[in-house]
Amino acid sequence: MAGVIFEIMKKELSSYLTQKSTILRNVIFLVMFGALTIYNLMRLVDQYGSAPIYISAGLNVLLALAAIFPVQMAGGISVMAFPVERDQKTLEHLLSLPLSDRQIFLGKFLAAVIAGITGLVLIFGVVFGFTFINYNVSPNALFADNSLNLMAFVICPMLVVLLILLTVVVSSRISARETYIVNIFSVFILLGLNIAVATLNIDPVTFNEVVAAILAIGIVIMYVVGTKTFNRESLIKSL
Amino acid sequence: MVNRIPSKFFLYIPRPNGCSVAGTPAVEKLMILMIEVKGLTKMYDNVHGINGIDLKIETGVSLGLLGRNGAGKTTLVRTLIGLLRANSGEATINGISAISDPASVRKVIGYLPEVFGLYNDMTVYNILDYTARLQQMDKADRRDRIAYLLDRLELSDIKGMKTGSLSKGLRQKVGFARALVNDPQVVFLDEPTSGLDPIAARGIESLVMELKKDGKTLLITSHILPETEKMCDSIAIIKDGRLVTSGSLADVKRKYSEPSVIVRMQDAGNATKAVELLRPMFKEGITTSDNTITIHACETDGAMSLINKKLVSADLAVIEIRRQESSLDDVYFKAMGV
Repeated sequence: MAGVIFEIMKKELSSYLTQKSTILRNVIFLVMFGALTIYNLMRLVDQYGSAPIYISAGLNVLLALAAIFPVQMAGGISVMAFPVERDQKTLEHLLSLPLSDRQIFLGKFLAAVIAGITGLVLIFGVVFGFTFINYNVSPNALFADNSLNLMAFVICPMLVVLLILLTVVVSSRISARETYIVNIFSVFILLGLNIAVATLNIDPVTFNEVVAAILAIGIVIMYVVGTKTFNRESLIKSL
Repeated sequence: MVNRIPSKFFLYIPRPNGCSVAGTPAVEKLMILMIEVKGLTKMYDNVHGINGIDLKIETGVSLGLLGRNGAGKTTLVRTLIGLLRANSGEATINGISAISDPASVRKVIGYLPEVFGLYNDMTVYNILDYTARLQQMDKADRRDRIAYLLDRLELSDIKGMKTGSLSKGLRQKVGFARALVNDPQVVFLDEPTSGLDPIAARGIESLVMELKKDGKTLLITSHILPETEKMCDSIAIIKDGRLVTSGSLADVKRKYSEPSVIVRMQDAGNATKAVELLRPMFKEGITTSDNTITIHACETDGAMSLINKKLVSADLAVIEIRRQESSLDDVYFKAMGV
């Protein structure tokens, strides 16, 4: 089972990463969201100073903004999961192969997750690289704050996974264009989280723990919904 | 790949066409049933896609599934390979239930959908290799099978080309190769020559003929009748989701054609004499045109031998005696009630 999932995943990633337009789009988005996050961080530092505790608090808010990049990056590959297969008329043959629904779903989903996590690593590399070099802050000092740990290593990856799951699940039922709308919806969720972290007067660690718990539940529900509702018949009927 | 011993055998006795001559020995052959469909029904929102289809296809037979657009041909194929779930009925392919175990069925079949695409950014070789990997073939089998298919379908020269740059005919060949990657026992071809120019269509026809020689069981949907007549030994006609008729091409032709015998004499004089001689024997009617006599006879086989004896004993010069063959066009229109 794992071998087939790996083959589908590998093919999806290979098709995605060999498109020049995709590379160009991702570079532009990386620069754009990296610059936007860094610009906002600089404004916060100008306002509150460059002590690690303030930078850490600032990043806790801004990382949700930066996470738009990996979601967008994964969005491109999620669209390829089913809508592009449908448009290219390759879906019916794929579904006629001796693969289980779960294998097809997981192969497509994991390819998007890898793209998303890669995007997350890239944007965090840019943001944290700038922070470490420009403000001369040590990683230990920056990550002394648990809320940032949760945000960077738990919430953002989970958000990316959840939004990718949402896109892949929905993409089996809608067109490529409509899938991009789901992507934009995902951006609003991230911006909403960004605003909530910045404005709600709640202990950041508690807030992040609650968000992480909600995301974990969301991922489980979305995975169950995705695998249970995914079936060949609905895809074939949509051709 | 699943290789199952076929679970069902049956004694195949060519069906009497209702006009056979008494005393003709029944030819008995032991045939292996590859596809068996019983009362298969698939509904779309309370509308029948297919309705109570019964069908038997023996191993090595190529069956042409004919019918108008929307008649249910593609629905039947999709249900047989487990892409659609049947509402009722049973279907087995090589003894495996397509209803309860579609995943196993998909291991023994190859499928060329009517409208299919290829991953445009992949090369011909990579598409076949990807399909073989998804079929879980091991490395050596993959390499050998792909090399064989590239050679057999004359795709070796373009194996490194991206499929997005290929002509429609070549893309169809690649699609064909892709359907054969797992060396399937049964191949489903949904409108295989649809939209192709005559030369490309002929190329596909010859590929089908080669598959027949290999002993593959083929189910080909089409509404191009001359092409079906060339590629298939059996036909099934489907109308509004129901099977109108099925059987060997010859049987179906007999069933729907008006049985008659053509006698061609050396000249018109001989023809006139022959008509006088034969008229008392055939109540169904005799017509002549120049040196050709058309005799409407229910039992054509018996009639042919009788006519031959009579004319030879009367010392009349006969050029040929043959059964009048109906074209598949005639049969199709009659079966469809048009």
